[in-house]
Amino acid sequence: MNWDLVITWGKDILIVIGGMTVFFGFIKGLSDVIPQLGKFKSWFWLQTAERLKNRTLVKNAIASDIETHVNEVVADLQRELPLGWIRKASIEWVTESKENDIEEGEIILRVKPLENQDQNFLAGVYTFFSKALFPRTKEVIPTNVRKAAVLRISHRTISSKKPYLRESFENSFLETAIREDPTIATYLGRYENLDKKGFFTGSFLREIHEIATKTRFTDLRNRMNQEVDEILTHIEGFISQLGVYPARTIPQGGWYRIGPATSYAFMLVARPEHGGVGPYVNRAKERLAQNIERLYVMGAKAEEPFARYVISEIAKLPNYKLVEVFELNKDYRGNTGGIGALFVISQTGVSEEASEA
Amino acid sequence: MRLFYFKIKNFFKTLPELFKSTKVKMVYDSDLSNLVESLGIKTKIENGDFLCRFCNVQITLENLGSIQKDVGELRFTCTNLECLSKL
Repeated sequence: MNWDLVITWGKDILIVIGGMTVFFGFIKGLSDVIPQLGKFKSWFWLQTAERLKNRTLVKNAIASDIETHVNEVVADLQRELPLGWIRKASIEWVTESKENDIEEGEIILRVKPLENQDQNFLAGVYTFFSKALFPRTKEVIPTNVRKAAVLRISHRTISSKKPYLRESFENSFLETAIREDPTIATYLGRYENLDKKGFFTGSFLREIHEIATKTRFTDLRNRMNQEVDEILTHIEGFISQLGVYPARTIPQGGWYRIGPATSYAFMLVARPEHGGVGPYVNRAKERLAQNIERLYVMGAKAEEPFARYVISEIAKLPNYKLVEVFELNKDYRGNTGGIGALFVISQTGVSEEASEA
Repeated sequence: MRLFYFKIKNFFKTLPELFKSTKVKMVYDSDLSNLVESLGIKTKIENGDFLCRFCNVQITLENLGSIQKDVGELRFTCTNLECLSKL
């Protein structure tokens, strides 16, 4: 036997295996960070699983397909929802477990073979959003309010990413939830109206989360339903005025709400020709003088660069601290896109940004 | 300029988030029997001791849709999407 040849072949084979491991490891790592690449990973597993009919490959294909579709949406929602709410989804297969290893409230979903992938996807998306929305304040927020929010986000996600599953989701998840608690239908309708103008994810969810955080150990926790209804009514009233031109017909009191736990105000940014950035900064100063804790700046998609400029100028005010800049699903005119920012009153009187400057 | 600094600062603040994930636990069809055995509830399921917490149908290995720990106890739903949506 020619040992030199065997050693050379052995080396070549090891180089190929090593190369493939590095390549696939790199692709896996990239697809974890860049969700769009997950499509390739998902396609690869699906093709291989269908050809080889191997159980492990089928499990990989199912997990990869659900993760890819959920993570595609997650990437969009990460820029829309508060920081830290939405992280990428990862599926953990459980093959055995002790009762003590399962945490309180934790769910283990049974997943069927690939032929039932649509049902797997619907259950996966719903479970993911149930877990992800309102981290640390789930117990404080009334179940119907929270459940309707999860259903609204899931419904929007499924309608845009897998429209053919929309009906199936409506007939099963939505219908059941409403039959179980008819108030959910009311919330769903109200959330949809807010969502059409970017105020559902833009301001409503943020406000509810903030109130829940602040009232966790106070008496107000028992009146969360009332507080949620009042915020919804305020934003609905505000939105209903938006179609009326000119926007300045909105009564002064309509632009803000001072509640028992928080106070917030809206500022709509669109028209640079109306005096430039000055009037917007003056409006922010007025809100400061009123001691409004939270200021939402909502910029129209068509005037996004100007809205960014306004946000940047308001950030220079020493008493308002810029805490978030986020994207909007729809702007206040109902167009897709737009930019929002949240400022909170600085307790120290000097914003972090100002001290850095 | 301030918005630019904010974005840079925010980028580094959010960087760790890229590597964190929300874990969704799943059990594959053919691993279910093994899982319930490791949990010590296989015999009880075979004896029909558990009911779906929502529709009260008897839970079997064929129709078990989810396992959840609720107030320290394991609870089950059937595979009906209507029951899964109530979780």
